Amino acid sequence: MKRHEFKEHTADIIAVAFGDSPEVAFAAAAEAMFDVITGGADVQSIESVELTVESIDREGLLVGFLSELIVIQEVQGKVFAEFTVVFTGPHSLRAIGRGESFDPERHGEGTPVKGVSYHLLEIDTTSSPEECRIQVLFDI
Amino acid sequence: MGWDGPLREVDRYRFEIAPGYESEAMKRHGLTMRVPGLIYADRRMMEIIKRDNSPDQVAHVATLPGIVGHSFAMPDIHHGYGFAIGGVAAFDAEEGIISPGGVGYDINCGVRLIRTSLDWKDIRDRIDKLIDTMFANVPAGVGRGGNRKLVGNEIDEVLARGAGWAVAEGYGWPEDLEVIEERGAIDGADPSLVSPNARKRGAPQLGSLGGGNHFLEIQQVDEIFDLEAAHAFGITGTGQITIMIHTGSRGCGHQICTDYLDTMRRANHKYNIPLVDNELSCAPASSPEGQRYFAAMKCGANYAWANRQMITHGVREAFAQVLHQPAEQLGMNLVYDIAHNMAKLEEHQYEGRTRRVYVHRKGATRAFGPGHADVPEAYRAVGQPVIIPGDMGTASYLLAGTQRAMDETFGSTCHGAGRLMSRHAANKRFRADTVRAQLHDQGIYLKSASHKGVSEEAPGVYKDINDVVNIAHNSGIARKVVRLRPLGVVKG
Repeated sequence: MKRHEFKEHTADIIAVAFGDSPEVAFAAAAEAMFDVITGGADVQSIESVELTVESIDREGLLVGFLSELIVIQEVQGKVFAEFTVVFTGPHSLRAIGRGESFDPERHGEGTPVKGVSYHLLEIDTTSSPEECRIQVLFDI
Repeated sequence: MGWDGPLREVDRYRFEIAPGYESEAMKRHGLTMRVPGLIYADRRMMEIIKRDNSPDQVAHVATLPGIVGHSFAMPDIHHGYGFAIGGVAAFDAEEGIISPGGVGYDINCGVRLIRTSLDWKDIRDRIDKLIDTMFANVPAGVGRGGNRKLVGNEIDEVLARGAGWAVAEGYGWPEDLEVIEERGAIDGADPSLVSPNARKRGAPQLGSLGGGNHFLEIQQVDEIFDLEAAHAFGITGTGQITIMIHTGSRGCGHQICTDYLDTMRRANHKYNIPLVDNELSCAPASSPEGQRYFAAMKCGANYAWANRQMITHGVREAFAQVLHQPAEQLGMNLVYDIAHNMAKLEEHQYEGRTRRVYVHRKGATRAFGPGHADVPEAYRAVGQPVIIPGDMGTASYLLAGTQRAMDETFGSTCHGAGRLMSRHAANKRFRADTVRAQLHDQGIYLKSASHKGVSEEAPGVYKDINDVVNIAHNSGIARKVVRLRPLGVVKG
């Protein structure tokens, strides 16, 4: 089930991701980013990659997490279908991404994400206790 | 819903946002504009600009410490992140800041133009073949790296030496370097300040086009406006074939920006610089953090020049293969290569004083006027060539820098058509095969790495390039020299 949607922006893409906890919403934001990168292609969960990230605040943690995934995607040639995120401290996390190697035939219809912006970034945990909403702009 | 702040019409092509203006975000953060905003537009273009709230971004940049003169917006301005795309701002070298957000992720995204001695009639039956061969020679699209994988410390050479490294490796001609901004390698690049991640992303991608709005285009000269300048730029008549290359620093530059945004966020706390938007994170230009970013950014810039240099080689080879003549005999010399996303330390005469400033051009082009020492000698009498790519169905332009730009905008002008429509809306509105068919009817052959790239970059998603360039020309911050019409396009 998709836990994200996209909003209009003139030059770039804004993703809005939801979860019943900030960890789930972080995972959903990462899934949204790979939706952009692969053009919404079907990605198989046949291997996994683990990563840890830390930053100075919650916003930096999200941007750092997504930016690290861009590095893994480009350098290791991986694309991901789903993520599990666990916070290991106030501004640190461990994540597992499940996916497969990039296949230009199947995943080549997407748009490369150049960077993850702080502009319009929102991590909203206040609207309801069961829902965390993340808004993030990808530079493409 | 659009922007409805106060504007003063200075003249037909200039609108000022008065310093008293406060956006909602500025009120929230208690920040005010230190200098006015100045938007280059006519009334019609101003209505388009107001639709996407980018004037607020012009105002936000004006809150940053050390800004000199105005926060400028070029006629192709549209909403970016932090700084607007099409924004120019100069910050005092001692009192001012430097900001990765004022440069963008794609450091030294830029364009170069290659001329030829060919006429449209010489190749009209072979445009398809030429484009297909260029597509084969130059990797394009998501996940496609370069043909020349860098090994060991080679990446350091690229980061330090830029296009010069590529020429020394056999990609292109030594005389190419004479007509590249900064001769293809800006002084002061320090590869030791570039992270392992940026190196890892950059090493396999050198010589590749990427996706998004990046392209290769075969064009013909459609109209000449200024014979003297056209002659200086090697443009001899209508019908002459040119090739345009638009790409940047790939993952290497993107990662340098990402890394230093993090550095700057930390520096922001340290130097206590209040911000309207986190994406405007910055440090005093003279601080260690500011200087480290500047030296790393230069590495990204050099990577981009090496990248366009290697792609030039692929393009020349494609022409040689298809036309069975060496590129030298086809007169495939470089006209110029110019950056669109850069911060540079420059000396300007501004309002009667000599100022050393960090000029941030984000989606804007340097446009130095006649006589400036940084303009290649062959062009010095007419001004620096300014290459403005349009959408793939309309036109592109070659302009020249002016003294007026020197006096007013720190030698800067517009960089392209400027987007009007989001990619999502474009995908809903345009179908790739329809766009392709329409281009075909106009005599333009398109080869693309992806279908989506075609609809997202459909001509209708951009402002009319003719309007943008006419405003730059009529306001005097550039001079029209030549219009170029597309014949064939490789899309990333």
